[in-house]
Amino acid sequence: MLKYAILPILAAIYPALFHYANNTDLVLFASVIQICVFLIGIGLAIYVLLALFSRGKFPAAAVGTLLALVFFHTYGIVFDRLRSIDGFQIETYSFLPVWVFAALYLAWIVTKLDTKFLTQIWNGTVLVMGGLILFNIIQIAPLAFEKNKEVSSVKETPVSANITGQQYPDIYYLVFDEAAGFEAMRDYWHNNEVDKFAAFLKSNGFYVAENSHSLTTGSMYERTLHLNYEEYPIPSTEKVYDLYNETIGQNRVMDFLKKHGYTLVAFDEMRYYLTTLIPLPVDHLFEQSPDQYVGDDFFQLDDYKGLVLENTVLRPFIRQSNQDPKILSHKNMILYSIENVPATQFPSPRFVYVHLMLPHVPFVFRENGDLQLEGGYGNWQKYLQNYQYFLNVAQQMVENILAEADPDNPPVIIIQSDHGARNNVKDFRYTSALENYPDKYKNLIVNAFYLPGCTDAPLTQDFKPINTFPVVFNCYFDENIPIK
Amino acid sequence: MTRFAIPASKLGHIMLWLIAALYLLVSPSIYYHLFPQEGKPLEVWKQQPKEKGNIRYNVEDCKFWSEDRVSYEEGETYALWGWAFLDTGPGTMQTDFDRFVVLYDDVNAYVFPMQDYRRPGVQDRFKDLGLGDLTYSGFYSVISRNALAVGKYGIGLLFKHKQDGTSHYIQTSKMLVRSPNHLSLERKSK
Repeated sequence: MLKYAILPILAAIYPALFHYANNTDLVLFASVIQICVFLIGIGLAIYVLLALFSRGKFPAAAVGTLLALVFFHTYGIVFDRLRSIDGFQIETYSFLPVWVFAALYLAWIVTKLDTKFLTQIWNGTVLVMGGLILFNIIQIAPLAFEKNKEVSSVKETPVSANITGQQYPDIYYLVFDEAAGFEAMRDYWHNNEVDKFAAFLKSNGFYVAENSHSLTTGSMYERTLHLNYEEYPIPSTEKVYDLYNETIGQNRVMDFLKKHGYTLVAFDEMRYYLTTLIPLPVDHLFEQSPDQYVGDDFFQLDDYKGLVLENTVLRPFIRQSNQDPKILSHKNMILYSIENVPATQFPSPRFVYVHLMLPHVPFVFRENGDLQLEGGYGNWQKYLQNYQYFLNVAQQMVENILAEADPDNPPVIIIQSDHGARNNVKDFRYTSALENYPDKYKNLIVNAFYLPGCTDAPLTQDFKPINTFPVVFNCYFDENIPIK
Repeated sequence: MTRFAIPASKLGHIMLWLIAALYLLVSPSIYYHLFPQEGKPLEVWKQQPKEKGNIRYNVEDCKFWSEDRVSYEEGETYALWGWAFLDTGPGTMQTDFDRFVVLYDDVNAYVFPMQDYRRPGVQDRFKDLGLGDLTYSGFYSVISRNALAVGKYGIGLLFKHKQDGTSHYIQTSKMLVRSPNHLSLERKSK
């Protein structure tokens, strides 16, 4: 019995290995193991069932299982093909039962064939499947080995002094997309949680600029502005991509810090929606969490598992699941950023740039970070919940950074939003815009500075975010950059 | 002459496959009629209303719709969306009217309710007309593909007064094309 089970096992895991071979550098090995165990379980379950039905004809059960697994793995491909041909109406509830029926029927018919003939088929298919899997393993092995080596070398990099030998502080620039200024929270939402957060910041030595405004409500433009401390003519919606992509690769802030021996690290979700943007020019860029935080349950879907299961008969259940992979990836990234924001595995001095799409759309978080997908992703009535979560995230990040900080050389921390809550209604799906939301709050931002030892920094309540890095550089690097 | 006969032992198998094929073909229709589903028309008329009144509009898109979230995948329900308001001169109160989308072919006219959504841009663009607040002139109508037979449907917009029932109606320049598995918005051919 066990010998013949090899075929179902090989057939079950082949698609998982095929996709892993094509995405080795992106996929977590743990995820591969989990999906393989899951698929083997399905393969063996069918095999045992057919063995029982065929009264112990194991070669027949194995070949029947192979056939059933072919149906299992190709459901999505056939479904999509039939839909694109568009000859007759095809829905999940109409096609799935018929497909499963066809698979089981044919698998059962196979068990009726002559055992000698089935043993020959078993021999041949084991050889073919084994060859295919071996081919994939040969592709995977060197890449997986390289990947493992890279991770080890990053973890083992010792903390080193900067090239000038001077003790520049670590700089943490935490940007929260679309976080409304505190006064908007108090006045419009009547939410005083911001006062607790402001008190927390002040008690830790932060200066909180409460009347700070962004120039525009566009994230790309604001990032361009802040990282170059230069005002550009405000471009049209289409041209802002060009401006961003032209300027970000050689932005002044990162160039400056690199010349001063900084290690540049970014936890950046900006390309979560805007996938065609040029990546930030940093030494270590995290755009997705390499670790999985959300849900310890075995069957937590990530992109890879989604890819493998997308074409199986499980597709309808995956798509109806409330475990939207994109949302889970977003949540994972937030949790990863909270935990890893000190970035102490990288050499000091380091510049750590965090840009999270929080409290920005998708509005899916409860205050404690649990997901609430009901009510849509673009429902502005849920902005407040996302905002409360942002306050928690920001506070945890500050606590983590300060806990890891060197008391003799404390870090600089800047907490900022790129623009305020815009209450934008992109299309009909944003059906619940905020009533009577004042326009004046669309540019009111969160802006707080922890600049230890910088007693004469020109910080004011109406601080212009374009001056963020000039103030830092003038203070810690004795620069003389004009303040605008 | 030999008579074609199916052996009794095979008959059961053939019946099973026939049932499966039948289920594949007719279950969408059964499902639509038996189970509650979004996007069913409020009413089905024998013909569309006569054109009357001045309605300004733009039917912008037909997107996939899901009950409680943004849907990026095609299912059986769609949302037809755009903006529309009634222009009967200064003082027109948009809130006095219920609004409907009418999909019509040569045989029937299917009436779907419109849901409002904010379109501040429309208010800005047409504020000089003095037609009151046009902020909520945005509309979307949820339409099930199964409500329509395969074919082409003209799109009409109907404004019906909440009190006296007087109505205003316009045929738009767009149409919906329903194929077995898709519903798409197209411009009417001239």
